[in-house]
Amino acid sequence: MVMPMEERAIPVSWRRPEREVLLENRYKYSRPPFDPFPTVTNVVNASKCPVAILHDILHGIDDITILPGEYGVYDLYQRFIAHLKLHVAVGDIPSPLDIRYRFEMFARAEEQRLKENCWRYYLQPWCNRKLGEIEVNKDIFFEVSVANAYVPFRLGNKNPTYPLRGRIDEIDLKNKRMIERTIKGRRTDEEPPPLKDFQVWLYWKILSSIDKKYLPEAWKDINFKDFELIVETPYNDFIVEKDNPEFERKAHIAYAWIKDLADGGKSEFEAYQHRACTYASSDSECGARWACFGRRYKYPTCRSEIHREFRKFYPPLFWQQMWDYHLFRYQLLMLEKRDLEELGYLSEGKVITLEEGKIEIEMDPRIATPILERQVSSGEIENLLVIGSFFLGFEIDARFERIEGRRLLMNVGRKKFLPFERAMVLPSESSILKTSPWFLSRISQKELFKLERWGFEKDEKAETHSVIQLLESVFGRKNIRREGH
Amino acid sequence: MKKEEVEIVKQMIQQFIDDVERGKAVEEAGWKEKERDVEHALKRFGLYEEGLQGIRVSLHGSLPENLLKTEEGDMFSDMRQAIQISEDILRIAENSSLQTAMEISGFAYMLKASEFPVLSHRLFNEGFTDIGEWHTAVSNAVYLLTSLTVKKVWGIEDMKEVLKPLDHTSLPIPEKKNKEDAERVKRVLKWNKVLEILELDVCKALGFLWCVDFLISSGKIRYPESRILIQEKAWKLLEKKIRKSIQEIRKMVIKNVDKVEEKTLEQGFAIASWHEILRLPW
Repeated sequence: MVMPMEERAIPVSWRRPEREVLLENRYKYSRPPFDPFPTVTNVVNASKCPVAILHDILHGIDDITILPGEYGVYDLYQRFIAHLKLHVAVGDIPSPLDIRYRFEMFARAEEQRLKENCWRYYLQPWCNRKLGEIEVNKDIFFEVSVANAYVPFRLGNKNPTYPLRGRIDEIDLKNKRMIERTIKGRRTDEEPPPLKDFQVWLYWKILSSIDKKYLPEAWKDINFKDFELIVETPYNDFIVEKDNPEFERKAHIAYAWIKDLADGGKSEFEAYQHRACTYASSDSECGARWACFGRRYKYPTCRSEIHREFRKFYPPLFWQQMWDYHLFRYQLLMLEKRDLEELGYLSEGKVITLEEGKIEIEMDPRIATPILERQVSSGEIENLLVIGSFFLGFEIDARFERIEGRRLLMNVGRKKFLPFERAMVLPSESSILKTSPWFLSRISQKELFKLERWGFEKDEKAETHSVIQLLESVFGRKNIRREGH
Repeated sequence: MKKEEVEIVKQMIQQFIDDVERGKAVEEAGWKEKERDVEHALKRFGLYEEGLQGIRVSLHGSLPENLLKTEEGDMFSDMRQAIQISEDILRIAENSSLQTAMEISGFAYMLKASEFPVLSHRLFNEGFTDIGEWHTAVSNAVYLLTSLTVKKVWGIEDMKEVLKPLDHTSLPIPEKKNKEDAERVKRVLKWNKVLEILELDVCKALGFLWCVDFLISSGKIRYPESRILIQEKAWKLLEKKIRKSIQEIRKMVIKNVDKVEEKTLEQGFAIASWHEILRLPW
């Protein structure tokens, strides 16, 4: 069944929401009349394997380049390096002697084994290699959000466009480079870990496609097209070639799969026909391996009935995410500021100070009304704070504290410094006022899928397990009887 | 049985699965040049098959318990079941008296499985007081909705007569139930309007594929690799039958359902999530 991915009709024409949909004048129901707004992770997943993007879209499985057990270590690794560089930026340079102590202090709340693994296998080799190179540089920024609804990808003489968004690990304006940091890779590698080069290239594609008028004022004169792209593993740095037709082609194929699987143009069977690996030679580095392979246990015996009932929820749950979240992303990039204010989403102001995790924003109290309404009507104090622009900036979870005259005070956690003045406050992603929390649909997909796969092999265990018995009653032929009858 | 022999048979099973996954037809999959110890092990398990391409693990005969307990054995057994179902589908599809009955049965099965997601304002407008009442009513309406479709789209007056050949099969036959409920459901869905839009090829494709889906489900197929085997065969049959490619069939269905959604709007609102009712099985 494995067929080459190349057998795809490309490019696909991407449907963005029309104005009446953007303004929410159309009832949010059934299959959305627009295509998804993918993240870089979605595109990387789709380019790896159509079944990976199927699991991503329908079963809520995230980044397949990270193995399920690696998330904690990966996150700690990223956070510590960012912490270190931010300290160096203000002249606080660690020595090789105290670096371990600094890490221990930084990670003191983490579990011992996770901390130990992170240090021994990833941070130590990284520090050995990089510590001497880190320079005082205030122009390094971490977790920079980029998005554009019209990113061009070359195909012959044409430049079809697709929407794309993501978060860049590191941008160094002084040395003009972008870094994708990963814990993958070995000392002896001569090439970057699979797809990491493609990933950093996708970020760069977004960044270099943004019209200057949408860039934050302070960064308007920067030519991101010149930036060097680097994949950084604990052991090596790899420079990525930007002019790579293979990446362009890969992107087109990935978008074709995303579109088709999202709108029913293709289904499970076509995705499996093009699966990148097989049962006998499955990819042990794939984060979705557990979802593809593995034993279907004997119990519950009604597994096919469970699948039949559950699968009908997967596409509508994804459509819900599109209505609730993808549409919001299109709105931010395609609507005018006035439209967003009228929808009650946007309150814009100017950053005055950022000290000790508190940000002070100057804002007309009338503009701040939606923030107060959310707080008063449903007790929501979490907000999405965007510093910069919706195309390029920093997305921060910000907790509303108070408003005094024209000064809005919010708690933003560990952020050290931000280069822009423009601050936009939006409902948080989990706001129940804006839409239903989209991530709950994703969790539902994942949990339903896990339940489809879950079970027992041994008769005696299954016979006494209440969940198995319940599943057999609901989906199978077992009769439920009350105890004592 | 010796452990080494179990290992040999497991390897032969793995080869079969791998060949199928790599796109080989079932008839071409799993063959290996004759080797004495392989031949011996397969024979010991009663799973020996010999052909022009050599020997392979047989698709017939029961699998011993210790093989079924392995992941490979379990998957192979599931695939064998899938191959059997594919052959059944081929037989049904080639039988002209069964073809239309199969499509109608599948169409009714699709309607039933959808549970009809409808906007609540539409229900209240038609006098339903709660969702529970709607769910009871729709389970009684499948027969009427299908028979009206059969009449208008298939152009067949007597559905009962067409469905008669199904008596000797395991395929589901829609049952006539509470007519009053059915009429109310018909009104909520504006079914007569829907039938003016629905195309015959769309109904045939949906019906056929949902019937296949019923067989997959009732055959207790558990592995996606096995489901794909059946779906591949079924789509090939459908392409031949409708004389359109898979892509064209999918587009045709989506376009037709989009039209249903568009033409049944009420004051600018969709009355039902039509893509969850008239849909290709996933």
